[in-house]
Amino acid sequence: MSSISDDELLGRLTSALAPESITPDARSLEQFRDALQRSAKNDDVIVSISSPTKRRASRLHRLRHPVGAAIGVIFLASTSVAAAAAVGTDTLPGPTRTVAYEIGLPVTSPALYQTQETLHQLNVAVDHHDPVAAREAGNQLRQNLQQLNPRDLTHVQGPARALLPRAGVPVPPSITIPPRPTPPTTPQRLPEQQVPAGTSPVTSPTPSPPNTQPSGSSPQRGSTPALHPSSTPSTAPTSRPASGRPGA
Amino acid sequence: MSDEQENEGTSRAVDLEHERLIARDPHAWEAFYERNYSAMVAYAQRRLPSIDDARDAVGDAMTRVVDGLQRMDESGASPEAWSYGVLRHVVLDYQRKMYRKRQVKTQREISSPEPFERLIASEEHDAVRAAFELLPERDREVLELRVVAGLSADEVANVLKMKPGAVRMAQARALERLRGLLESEGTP
Repeated sequence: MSSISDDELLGRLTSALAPESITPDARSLEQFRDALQRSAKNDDVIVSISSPTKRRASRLHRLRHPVGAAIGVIFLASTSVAAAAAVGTDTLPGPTRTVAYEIGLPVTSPALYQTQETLHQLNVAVDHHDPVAAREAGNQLRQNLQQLNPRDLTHVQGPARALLPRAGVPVPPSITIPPRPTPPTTPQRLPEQQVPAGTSPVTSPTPSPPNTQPSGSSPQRGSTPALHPSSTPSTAPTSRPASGRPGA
Repeated sequence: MSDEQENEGTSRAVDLEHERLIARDPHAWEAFYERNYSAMVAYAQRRLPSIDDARDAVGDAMTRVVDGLQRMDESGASPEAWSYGVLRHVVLDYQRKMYRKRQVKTQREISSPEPFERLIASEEHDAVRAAFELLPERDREVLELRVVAGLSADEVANVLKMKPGAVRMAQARALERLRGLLESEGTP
């Protein structure tokens, strides 16, 4: 026997262990077909098309730490909601605002936001009759205004034009010329009680910016009129512009 | 047709069949079941008390195979290797369940008449079978999966959770032991 090779020994073993030829009985086959049908249905439910999808689905069931995964999901969801709320209400902190603005989220630009902040400080200083703070804020606002693009400038130029002279700070040249109003296509009638006597009620007068100068005097560039409570214009902004932070 | 061409054709047919099996073709699975049934029952029968238990075990195993085809895809195992792997676990489950009844079953099997085919088997086959039964369980399993089931060394490695090299070594050792047993019995 020692002379026979492994192959020959395997051949003898194959003959000796050859299984009897038997076939599955009807019950066994039926059971198998049922399992096949069940498997096909399960595939329809679980699988969309590709096997990577199947693998992801099955791996979800085999997470080792489902509680940790759930906490992670809740954390991500709450963070996302908080971020969405911050963007929606435009209450982002400085660096986040810069990033959000750069990627195109609907937030106020950092330059405009800073300008609105300064404008608010100036408004408060004027209301509190604090000439030193008003001048500081006014100078800061003047610098901020020069850094704004034309679109952002339209949001703040009205209040700035009203408040800067009251702080004794000259209005920057970029906003001294009021925007040209488009001529009305149809004549607008003013309410009767607002029509001054002797004036033609055909067109509405060009809206003039809030002016602290006494009537009849021309505005002087670079003039620093004294801050006076009685000169507070009725149109001076007492609250933040619409694009500013709510509740401010 | 040369042997090389024949082998190439067989390999291509096997690949094609595997593709159909992986694609859940029910006809391919039925054909696969019927073709492997005898060998799988023989594998189970050598480890379970009766052929009925073996048939039941194979039926259960194949049901589990098609229920878990997704896992088979993920493992990368061939359908044959995966099926024998499942059958092996099912047989172990049966053995555990039958542990208390083992004495009764063994006595019944001894008293039951031998199948006609076994009675007329050749003396050499009897000797080889007798020597085979004396081998350790792991040797028998490796040889049976290689010889009866026709699995490759890689597939046997997949079933037994071994490395392919270890399977080849185990097979060589098992054949050496079998040869020694046959020599001691005086079989030529």
